Amino acid sequence: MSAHMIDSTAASPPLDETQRVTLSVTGMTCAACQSHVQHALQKQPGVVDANVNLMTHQATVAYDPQRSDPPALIAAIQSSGYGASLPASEQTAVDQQEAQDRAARQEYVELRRKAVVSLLVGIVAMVLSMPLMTGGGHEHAGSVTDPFMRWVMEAINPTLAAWLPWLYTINPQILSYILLAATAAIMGWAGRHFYTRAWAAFRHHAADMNTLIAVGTGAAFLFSAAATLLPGFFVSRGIAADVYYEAVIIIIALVLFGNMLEARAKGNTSSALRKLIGLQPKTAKVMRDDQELDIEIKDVQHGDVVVVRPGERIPVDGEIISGASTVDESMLTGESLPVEKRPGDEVIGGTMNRTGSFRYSATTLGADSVLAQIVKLMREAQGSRAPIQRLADQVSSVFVPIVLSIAIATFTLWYILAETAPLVQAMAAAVAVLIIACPCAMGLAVPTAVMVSTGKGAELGILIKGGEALQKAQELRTIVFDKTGTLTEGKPAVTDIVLNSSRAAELSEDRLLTLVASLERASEHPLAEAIVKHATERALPLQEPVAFEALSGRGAVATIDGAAVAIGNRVLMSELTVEATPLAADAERLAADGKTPMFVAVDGQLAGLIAVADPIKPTSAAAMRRLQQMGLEVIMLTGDNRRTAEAIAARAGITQVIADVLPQGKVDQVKRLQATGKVVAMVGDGINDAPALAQADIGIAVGSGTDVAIEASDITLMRGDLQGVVAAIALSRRTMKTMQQNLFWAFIYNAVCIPVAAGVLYPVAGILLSPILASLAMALSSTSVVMNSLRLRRFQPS
Amino acid sequence: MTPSEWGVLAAGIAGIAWVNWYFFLAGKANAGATVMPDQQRETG
Repeated sequence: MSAHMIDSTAASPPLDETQRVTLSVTGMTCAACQSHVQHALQKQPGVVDANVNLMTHQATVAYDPQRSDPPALIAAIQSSGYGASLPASEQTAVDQQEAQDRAARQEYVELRRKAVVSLLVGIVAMVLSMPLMTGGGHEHAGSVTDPFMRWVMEAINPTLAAWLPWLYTINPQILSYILLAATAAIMGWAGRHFYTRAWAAFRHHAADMNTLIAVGTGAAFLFSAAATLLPGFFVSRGIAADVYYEAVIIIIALVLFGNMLEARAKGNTSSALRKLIGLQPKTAKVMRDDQELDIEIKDVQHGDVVVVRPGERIPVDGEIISGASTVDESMLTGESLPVEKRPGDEVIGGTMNRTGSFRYSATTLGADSVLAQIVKLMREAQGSRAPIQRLADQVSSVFVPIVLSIAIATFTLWYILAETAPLVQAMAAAVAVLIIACPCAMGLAVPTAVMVSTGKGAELGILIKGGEALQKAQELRTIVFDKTGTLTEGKPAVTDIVLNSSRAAELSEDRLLTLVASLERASEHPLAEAIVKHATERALPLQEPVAFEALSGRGAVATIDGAAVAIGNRVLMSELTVEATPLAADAERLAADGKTPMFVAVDGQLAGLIAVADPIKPTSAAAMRRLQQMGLEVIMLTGDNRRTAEAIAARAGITQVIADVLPQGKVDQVKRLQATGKVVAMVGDGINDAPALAQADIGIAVGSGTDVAIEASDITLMRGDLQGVVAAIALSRRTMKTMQQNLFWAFIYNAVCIPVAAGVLYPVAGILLSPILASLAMALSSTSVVMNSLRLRRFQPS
Repeated sequence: MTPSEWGVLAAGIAGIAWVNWYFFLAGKANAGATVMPDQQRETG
């Protein structure tokens, strides 16, 4: 077989031939576990890509269906020592999260039971060990080299001897056998998974946290068992036949307690997600055959008429048919004020109806509903990886073998250099090194922060796409705002109508508005809508335009009631050889007020001016000021004319304006800013600005929870308030700071504690670390990292 | 140093060498070996 042939088959299949599957993975506790499962999958024939997530406990695998299938992938994960299953295909993101939460809860309860029983057995073992440690002249008497146990013995032993004198009369050999049996039982029941997973990892040339616990406790147990079963062998060679059963049990108990606290804290990192899922009512009141029936949510069908009363949660998405109310959408949009709803308005499943009753027609259901989409997005975001995690991944991948090497070196040096009981001292120090090393803290440093942060963002109505978006957002230097619909309300209204005095006699204001509104009926421009709406409000009779033509960037022309009507900017007037000078000063004045003036020509002569203005959002100016205080360069990008744009910008507190930009030119402007080395965010309404949002380093879609907006942007603000942009950037900065703190402490913890456990301070300060204290430190280190991430839940955007 | 200390030193050095070989080198070699036979079967 030639190398060429092997290479040709090793090539990845074309992307359209690969299939993708998401598997649930159980039993992963640290970054090394994650990397271990990932390697197991990647080694499978036919696997093109595998991405395993420690926090969501999922593996997303792209594979060639000709060469692999989901059962083979599940088998590969299982053979590496972890559990795997295929989520039911009909499950929505909400169902999947509920199933995952149930599994996490079961895991926590199981860990708690094992930890409590182990600790109780450990305490009993410590009491039973006292007579062995104090010696009493029997052959097991030895020097207590473990500083923690020595302290315990000195503190407890006199009291114990007074209370339980009979304990000291039991044959030490019998006590040792009892302890041997108890330790083996705890190792086989509570600690079983450490050994099975360590062995599975070992067979695949991998090592993880389980390896360290298994080797550490295994070595202490084997030494103790040998001392119990063959005490004469030790004594004849001048070695104290000490036993460490109580240490093995307590180490297992403390590590399990650490895992339990970690599982609980990790569960809290997804509390925001659980809150969202809790919004989904289980039943809906639906009209069927003129009767109101309570049915399960999954049985609601598209088009069903749903009845909602005051104080009830809206069960599914839909459109109001009759009735009116105010609805609290704060849980999904962050908008604190209730929103008025009338017939024709959309309602979102999961929001709370306040004052009135209404009926509505169900629209999007199940996996397509807004709530399910948000939950899906959040799950994906929480499972995503931030680029900063690569550092932790690189260290984790080599960490455990290096710690094993350090433990061997520690054992060797202590054996050679210790003046008394070298074998015992060497073993205690080596076990302490194995137990104190904690790859878990490094593995949890970044993903826990991403989880809490994206959850907190969702609570504030900010949907963040993932770790990469969070990291990029804190690097931002320049932020570009679209004008219409972003800085402004996006609801332009006619503010001024100015007639050309020389034609005022033949054209009244109503006549001018009728002609222009009739023309604009054919246009889809937002400004045209404002004019038509204004005419409709005045109850003017509109007519059908003839020969309508929209002239991009200039205006529109048509024939109305036999009159040639044109509306547009000064360029259009020049093209039509219409003299615009008589109203030029008015146009300048209106533009200076932030309004958009449009010249109107009828039958080739200037007839008047219509000005339209789009009011700026009440919070825009404060948001811009805050962004500038945060050191960001703020730019307004608009297709409007320069005078109007500058007037709006001045009100918003923006000094840099890029005006007269056609929609397709926005992408070029973003590229131009990026070419100067700036990290650029584009804030837009998510539909017209989609290309620019995609081009920017961070695309922020404002005021929309639609699929299109979510797809095009990195961050989606569920409501239009630009304070959300400030909050998103502040949250990303805070999150990065948390990730850096976590990584720093995880690295420092290991860098300091491993040498101390190895005994480097012993020659200078006489400090030796007990394996039991080492296990306590290890349990606390990973818990503290998760707790630090949980502080992000207290983030306030102010 | 006593003979037993020399023995422990030699075992320690060998142990460290084995750990690094097993986890860093043998794992990679093994990964290549597990993929190749399957691919050969398919081409054959």
